[in-house]
Amino acid sequence: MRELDGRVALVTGGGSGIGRGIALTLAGEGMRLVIADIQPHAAEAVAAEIAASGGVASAEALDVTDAAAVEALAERCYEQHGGVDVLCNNAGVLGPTPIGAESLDNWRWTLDVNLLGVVHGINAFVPRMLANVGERGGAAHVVNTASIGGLIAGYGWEISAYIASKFAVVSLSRNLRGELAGSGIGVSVLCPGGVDTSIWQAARNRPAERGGPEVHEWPDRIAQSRSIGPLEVGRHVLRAIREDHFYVITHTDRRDAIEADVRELLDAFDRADRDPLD
Amino acid sequence: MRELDGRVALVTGGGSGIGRGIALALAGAGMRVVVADIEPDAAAAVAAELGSEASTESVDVTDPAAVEALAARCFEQHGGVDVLCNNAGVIGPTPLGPESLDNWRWIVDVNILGVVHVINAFVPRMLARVGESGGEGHVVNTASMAGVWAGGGWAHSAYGASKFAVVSMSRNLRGELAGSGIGVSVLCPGGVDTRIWQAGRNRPAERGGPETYQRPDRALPGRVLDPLVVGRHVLRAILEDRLYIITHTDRREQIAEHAQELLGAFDRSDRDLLD
Repeated sequence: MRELDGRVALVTGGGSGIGRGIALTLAGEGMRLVIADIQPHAAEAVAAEIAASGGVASAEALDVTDAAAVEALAERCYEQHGGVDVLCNNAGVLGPTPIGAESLDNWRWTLDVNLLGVVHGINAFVPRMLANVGERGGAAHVVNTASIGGLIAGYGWEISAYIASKFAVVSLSRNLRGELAGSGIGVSVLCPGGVDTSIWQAARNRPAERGGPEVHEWPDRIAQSRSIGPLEVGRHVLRAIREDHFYVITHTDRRDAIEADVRELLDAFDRADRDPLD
Repeated sequence: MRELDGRVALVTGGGSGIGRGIALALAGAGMRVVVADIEPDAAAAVAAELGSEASTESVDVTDPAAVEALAARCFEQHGGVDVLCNNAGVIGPTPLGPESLDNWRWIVDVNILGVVHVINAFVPRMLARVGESGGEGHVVNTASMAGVWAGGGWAHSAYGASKFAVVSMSRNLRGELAGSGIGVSVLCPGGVDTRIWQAGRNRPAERGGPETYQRPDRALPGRVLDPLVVGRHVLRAILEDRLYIITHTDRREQIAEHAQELLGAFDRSDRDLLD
C-alpha cells in the first residue's frame, strides 16, 4: 500500500507502548488516526499528541474482548471516517502462567485479549474493508501485533500463555494473508523482541472475572534483553505496510534459534519419509 | 523413555480416532492405558478392545475441576501416570464474521485450555513422582500439520491458531522439563481417518450446541492415514524422545520455503537499519 496521506488508520491499544509508536508514525505520514484503548485517557493523550504536531486523530474507548463493542466501533469508524484503510490489531497483554491451576485466570485473560481480541477486530473490520477497498483506492492493510515469542518457543513454561497466544496470532495472520490474497488488502504480522513499553503492567486492566488487577514483575532474563523504542517499531511497521512485507522483524538476535528449530522440524519430516511405519 | 511395559498411560479423547490409535499402540507395548473421553461409551469400547489392563474415565477436558479430579484418581488407583497423551481436540469452521465466535471459543476451550488443564493437573504430579523414583515420563500433545503450517485461508483459522498454540506449548513444556526425565512430543499429523469432522456433535449449549459440519474437499493434501499408523509414530517418538512427530510429509517443501521467507525478514531487518 503506497498512498497513506489522508487515509484512515485504526490502532487498538494505541494509547501506549507499541500502539502509540505505530500511531505517531502513521500520523507522520498524513494518515488520520483512530486511537482505541481500554484506557480512554491514554487514547486521548495520544490523539492530543498527534493533534499538537498538526495531525488528525480521534480517541475511542475500547475493550477488544467485547465483540459487540468492537463491532460498534467498526460501524462508527465507517460512519464517521468513511472507512478504515489500515487496521492495526495491536492491543495485547502479558501475565505469568506457571504450571498449576492458579494460572488459569491469566490463561483465559491472555487468550481473551491477545487471541480473541484480534479475532473480534478481524471479524468486525475485514468484511467492511473487503466491501469498500475498491472505492478507496484499491489498497488496504492489516497489521497484527504478535511478538518474537510468536515465532520461537522452548525456554520454559513461565509465559506459556503469552507465547501460545502469539503463535496463534502468527498462524491466523498467515491464514488471513491467504484469505485476502488478490483482494488488495495486505497483511503483516509484527514480531518484535524487547520494546520499551509498559506491557508488564498490563494486569492493571485485568477484569474482575479473570481475577482483577494484579502487579507482575519483569523476569530478569527479559529485562536484560535489548529494548528498542516504540517509535522505531512504528517505522518498521510503516515500511512493511508500504512494501507489503508479511513478517515485521525488529530484533534479529533469535535468527539462529529459529533456523535451528526449522532444521529440527524438517528433520522430523525426513525421518518420516525414511521410515513411514505403514 | 525406554521402558513402557507395565507402565501407565492416559489418553484424552481416547475413545475414537487418533486417541484410539495411540491407545492401541501403547497397549501393544505393554502399557496399562486409561482411556478418557467425553463419550463414556466410546471410551468403554476402546478399553474393551485393549483388554483387561485398560480402564476408562469420562472427562470433559474443558472442565478444570474434572481434570484435577481425574489426575487425583489416576495417581491413587494406578500409582501414577507415566505417559500423558493430551489428545482430545475438535474442529469447526470459522469463516470471517461474528457468527463464528461460538466456534472460536469452543475450539480455544478444548484445543488450548483443555491441554492446559491436563498439563496443570498431571505434570506437577508426574514431576514429583519422577523426582522420587528417578524414573522417566513423557507427555505427547496432539497438534496437527495445521500447527506448523498456515496460509491456506481463513475457513479453519481457529483450528490452525489453536494448533500453533499447542506446538508452542509443547516446545515451552519441553524447555521447562529439560533434565527432569520427562520428555515432550508434539504430534502434527495431516489427514487421518477419524471422525473429527463430526466433533460438533459434542459442542456444548453455551457455545451454540451440537452442529454438523461438512469435511471440506481441500482440507488436507496427501493420503489419509490409519489412526493405528499414527499410534506407531507416537510410540516411536516416546521411545526416542523426539519433539516433532511428523506422519505426512506433503508440506515439507512449503514449510522449507516459508522458513526462507521468515529468515529473509530477519536479514532484511539487519540490512536496512531504520535509525
